Amino acid sequence: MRRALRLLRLLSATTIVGSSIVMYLVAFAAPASAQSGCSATFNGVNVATYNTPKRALRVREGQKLNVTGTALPTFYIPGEDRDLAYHVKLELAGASWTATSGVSDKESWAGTVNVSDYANRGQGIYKVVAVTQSNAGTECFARAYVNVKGGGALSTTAGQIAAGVGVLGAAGAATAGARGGREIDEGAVKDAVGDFLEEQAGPPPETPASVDETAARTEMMGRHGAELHLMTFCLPLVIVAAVATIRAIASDVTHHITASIGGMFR
Amino acid sequence: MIRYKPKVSLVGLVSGVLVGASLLALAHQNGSLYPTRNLAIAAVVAGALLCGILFPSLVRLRAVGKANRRIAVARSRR
Repeated sequence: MRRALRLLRLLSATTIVGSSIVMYLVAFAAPASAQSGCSATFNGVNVATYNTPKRALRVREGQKLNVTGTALPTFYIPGEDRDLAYHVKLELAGASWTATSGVSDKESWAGTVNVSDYANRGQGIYKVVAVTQSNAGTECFARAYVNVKGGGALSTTAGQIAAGVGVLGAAGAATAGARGGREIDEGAVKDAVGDFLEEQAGPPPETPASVDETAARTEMMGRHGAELHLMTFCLPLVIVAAVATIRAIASDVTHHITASIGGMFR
Repeated sequence: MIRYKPKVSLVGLVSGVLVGASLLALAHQNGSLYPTRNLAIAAVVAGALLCGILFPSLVRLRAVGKANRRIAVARSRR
């Protein structure tokens, strides 16, 4: 990827170099891919050819790309130092980041880029935007698209991550779909059928009072029958105990009275 | 009868965002398209709508239809 950025930086740096006041005015009315005062080539083809994603320059993994760039003399004001500042950025899905930025005093550049050095991390179409300005204020702008082709989408790190995220998302979507249908289960159907039957059946019939009484008594006996049977069993014992207690008290009183009378005659 | 209501799933929404972003990334890695900002937003929103609302709602619609058919059969027997 860094090689690609370097390639694009070199492309834009060489594309943007050179301009004049006339070219500067032309640049405002020209399309976005226009160059003024500068020229650049990919394998001998002007970069202005690759000004749309469909026309992006296709480079394959293992391919070597020859890049040249030249700043036209009209870019500089005669007699001034031939220094320029350049800024190259890469754009993707609305986001952009700086590929390179700096200052150069060269009027032309030529080099070779090995695509395989960066094609294993990311492929696809990238937009490169580059601007430059000479120390006299003369400006140049270029934009090009590069399509890096390799061993398929899944052969790159970005593609593998995207595939993993996609599988995760698909699993989540399947879960969400399953939940959507799970709420309508057998119970919901039974409830609906039950409601329907209740609506169709009408009000329940009145039961005779004797039936209600019998049912209530049966329920009461079921709950408290043991206590009632216990009282029935214990009642004779209570009576015997009471009689024995009364008899003991009477005997004790009699004994005390007899003792008192005996003491009076002693 | 069971009344149908659309289903909105939070898990589905998040999953749809992931699916949309991943499909866009895979298409880009394949060199099929250049993802602009609008295209990225459209992919994410479409994925969220598809997986978060449309798919669960269709599944629920199918389940409700199936349940209502069973209820109708039970009613007709009575």
